[in-house]
Amino acid sequence: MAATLSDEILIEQARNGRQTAFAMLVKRYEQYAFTLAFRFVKNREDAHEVAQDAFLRAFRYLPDFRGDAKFSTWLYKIVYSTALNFLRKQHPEILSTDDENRPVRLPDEGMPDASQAMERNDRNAALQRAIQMLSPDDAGIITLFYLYEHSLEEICQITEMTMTNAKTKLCRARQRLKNIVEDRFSAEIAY
Amino acid sequence: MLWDYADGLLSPAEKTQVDKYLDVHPEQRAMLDAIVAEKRHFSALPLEHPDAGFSDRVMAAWATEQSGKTDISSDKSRDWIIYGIGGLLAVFLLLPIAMIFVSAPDAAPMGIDPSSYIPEIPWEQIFSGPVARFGMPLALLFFAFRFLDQYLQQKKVLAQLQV
Repeated sequence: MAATLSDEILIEQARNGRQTAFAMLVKRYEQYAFTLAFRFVKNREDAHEVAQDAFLRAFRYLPDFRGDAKFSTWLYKIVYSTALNFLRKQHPEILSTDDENRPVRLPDEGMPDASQAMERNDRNAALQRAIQMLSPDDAGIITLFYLYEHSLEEICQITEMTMTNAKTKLCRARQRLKNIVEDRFSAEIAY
Repeated sequence: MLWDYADGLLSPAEKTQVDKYLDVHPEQRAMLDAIVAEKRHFSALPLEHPDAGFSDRVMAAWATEQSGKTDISSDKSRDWIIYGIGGLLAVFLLLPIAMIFVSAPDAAPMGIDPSSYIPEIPWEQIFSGPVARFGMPLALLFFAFRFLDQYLQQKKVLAQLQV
């Protein structure tokens, strides 16, 4: 039944104080919120804390949600700012990796003879670990763009960056990820 | 440039340019295919799963927060009682003074114009009465605790909201 109810209906119900609607929204978005939080804070315990705080903030400010953007975009914006604030409090030094600019090499061929699920799992794990090695904001923008398939416009809404800034950040993050993959995980992830 | 093309970040003019370039450079087309495959791989990455019971914990925290709010609203009704007690005390203190002024024309000594007579207020008598002697310190203590309680609650809420 939860899958058939739209976000709008759940939000409306939640605004009227229905706890079940809140619970359904949490269930629906917990993995997305947790994954985004995890990309930023890099450990599960803190990610739980950030995701929980983000949900509580979202519920607190739900009456202010006007529905101009998708609920998911609004929620990720809250997760994003909650995670950034968390990091600023815990590790002020961790968000300052923007000056890193390593040379980039484009992939020269497709994945050779892609075999079985096991290989795919290795590849996934390696890619996950590579993302984990990125700075929090790089990992965040990569997750939003590639994993959640948000448009740059939506990323601008979430991160409050300008379009140019978001585009530049995405390109840099992508390059850094490529560098990490090539330097450390080339065996697992064959380009 | 190929990544930007694959990510849909190019303007229509740039895209046309790249399309033309790719038509005459099949090796670059193969590279683009690899990028698209890689993108697809990114999108298919599994999401992280929070621990079992995460949503229950969120809901429990939400319920706690909501019950806290209810407490605060019941505190507000308590405020009216407190202000009522304060008001009553003020009336008890001010009433004798008001009475003195009201009865001043009748109490004016001989030879003094009753309309311009300002009676002397028996402060000592008022403050030595039981209302002032016991009521005022109690009320002051009551208000002090009330404000301290309000301050601590506000501090707690602010700490919760600060993220």
